[in-house]
Amino acid sequence: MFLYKLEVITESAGSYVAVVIGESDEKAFAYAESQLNREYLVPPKIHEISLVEKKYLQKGKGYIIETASL
Amino acid sequence: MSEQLTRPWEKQRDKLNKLELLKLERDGLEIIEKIKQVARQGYTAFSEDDLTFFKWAGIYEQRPKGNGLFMMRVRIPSGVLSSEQARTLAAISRDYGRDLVDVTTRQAVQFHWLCTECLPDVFDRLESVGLFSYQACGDVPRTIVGNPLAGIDPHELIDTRPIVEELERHFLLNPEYSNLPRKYKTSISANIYNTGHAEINDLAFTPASKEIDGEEVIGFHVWVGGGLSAKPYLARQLDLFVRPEEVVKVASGVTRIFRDYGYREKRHHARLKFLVADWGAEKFLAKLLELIGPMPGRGTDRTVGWNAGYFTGVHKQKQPGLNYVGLLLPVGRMTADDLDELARLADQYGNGELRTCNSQNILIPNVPDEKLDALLAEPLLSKLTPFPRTFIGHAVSCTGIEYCNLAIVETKARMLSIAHWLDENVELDTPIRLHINGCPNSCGQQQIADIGLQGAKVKTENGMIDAFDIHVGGSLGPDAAFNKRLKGRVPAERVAPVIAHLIEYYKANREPKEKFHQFVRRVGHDALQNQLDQILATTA
Repeated sequence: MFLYKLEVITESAGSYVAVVIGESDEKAFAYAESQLNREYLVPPKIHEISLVEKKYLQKGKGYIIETASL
Repeated sequence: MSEQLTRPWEKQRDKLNKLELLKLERDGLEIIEKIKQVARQGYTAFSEDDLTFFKWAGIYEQRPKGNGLFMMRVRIPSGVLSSEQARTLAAISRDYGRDLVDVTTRQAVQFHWLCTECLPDVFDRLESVGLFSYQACGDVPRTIVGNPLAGIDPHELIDTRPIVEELERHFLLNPEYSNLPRKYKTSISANIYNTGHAEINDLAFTPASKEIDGEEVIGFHVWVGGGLSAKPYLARQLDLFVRPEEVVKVASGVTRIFRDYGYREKRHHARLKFLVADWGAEKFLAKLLELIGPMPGRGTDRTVGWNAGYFTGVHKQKQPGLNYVGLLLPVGRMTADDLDELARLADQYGNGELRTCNSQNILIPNVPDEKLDALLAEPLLSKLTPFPRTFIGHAVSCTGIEYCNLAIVETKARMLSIAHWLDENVELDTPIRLHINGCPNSCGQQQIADIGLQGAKVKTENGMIDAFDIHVGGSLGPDAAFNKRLKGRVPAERVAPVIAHLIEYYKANREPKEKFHQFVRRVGHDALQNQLDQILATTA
């Protein structure tokens, strides 16, 4: 199992970073899209989705995501 | 040894990460003996904790983890390799490693495909010729990077081979240093073109001189806290001048500071660079002098530029009548037969020596003038050419998804195809260094490249494709700075034409003798970004 980091650019709803647990690169894409869809009544169309990093799934592993504002 | 047993960090166990607690229970180097005793029983004879410590023996599990196959890294301090050692490496590769031999960006050699059962025999064979995989990985002093031209170099202040050998003996299998907070990389070079890549090592010695008692003394300046990985950081110079005979004393002091004061709470915040960033150079130096006694302040820096490890071609040595011949190993990879043949050439035409370079290439030193023509006519040199075309001659690659568990994309074959395409389609009189990484870590050292590529996977209508972020403007030496990312991920098949466009822009707008990284810094990152935006908008 890996902890994946993906970058998602949508056509109408901005950009996101998705962090998902998955057993393969292919599944990581599917899980990330699924997580994004859960955020919307009408899911935004994805312009580009990229897998940029993966780490072994272990306690304490994670990613720091830089944001413009909180 | 007594200081190591004190282990000051042990007093605050709640501040130690899981591996640190494990490292208190057992010395990482003990795994070497266990592998020798148990490996013939196979992979399942080792516990998960054992496998964690395999790194101290220079061994990583190959992708996919759990299959009982390993990558092994072998230390080649300063890149100096005898023909006998080369033949031993070739035989190991042939017998156990599917004929592959990779030269790394730290002058080491890597095997892949090694099975558990073969490890004791590999250790024995390496030891028999004075080679070691021990401490090539793990939280220990790694192999010492140095000047691949040491001893033959017209541009070195002194021959650093004896210093590297002495420090190697001091570091290797020394229990004082077998439990550092994290990996620890050292560089020693007296070449005035920074062949040791000083700024990206935890500890580096660079050429310097100082007038002491009316006499010019040749020695070193000291840099601490450099490193790449996901958070790259350039080393800082200490106000210190070191005579050659004091290098081991200083290295020992710096390493003990790292051991006793380095951070052990979080693995990603443990490299020496984090301590140096917090303390600053002055506090670090004060602690060092407390340990090793008074030392003179810095003298004159003698580094005048940067050669990133590229020595292909035929070059005069400092010894009259002798030459070194630098050969291209495309993206650092050769076969066992290639290495055997290199050993033969080194014996027949040189003095039986080879040198590995941190550009992942190799050279044959000590070739007399009268033997040059015959060497250049050898069939191997049509494959590992001394006269490569521009782009393939300056291309560096990490291992990539082929063997690495954390890589996102394939890299070595990709870099070969990009470099060959550029060589076919772009005329260029000034080399541009291309580096490729398969993930955000930095085995391919993409941050110091003129043009660095970092891999990602992108989902498209046709499935997943490899794509790359392009970074521009990196260099080491007097104007050291890491490259910066251009926004806009480029599908793999478009990377070569995109790079070609950026290079054409450079060619059309550069000043005389301006290198690519200098150009990027003069015109500004936005100018390159505009170019990339245009290409991505218009190129199909």
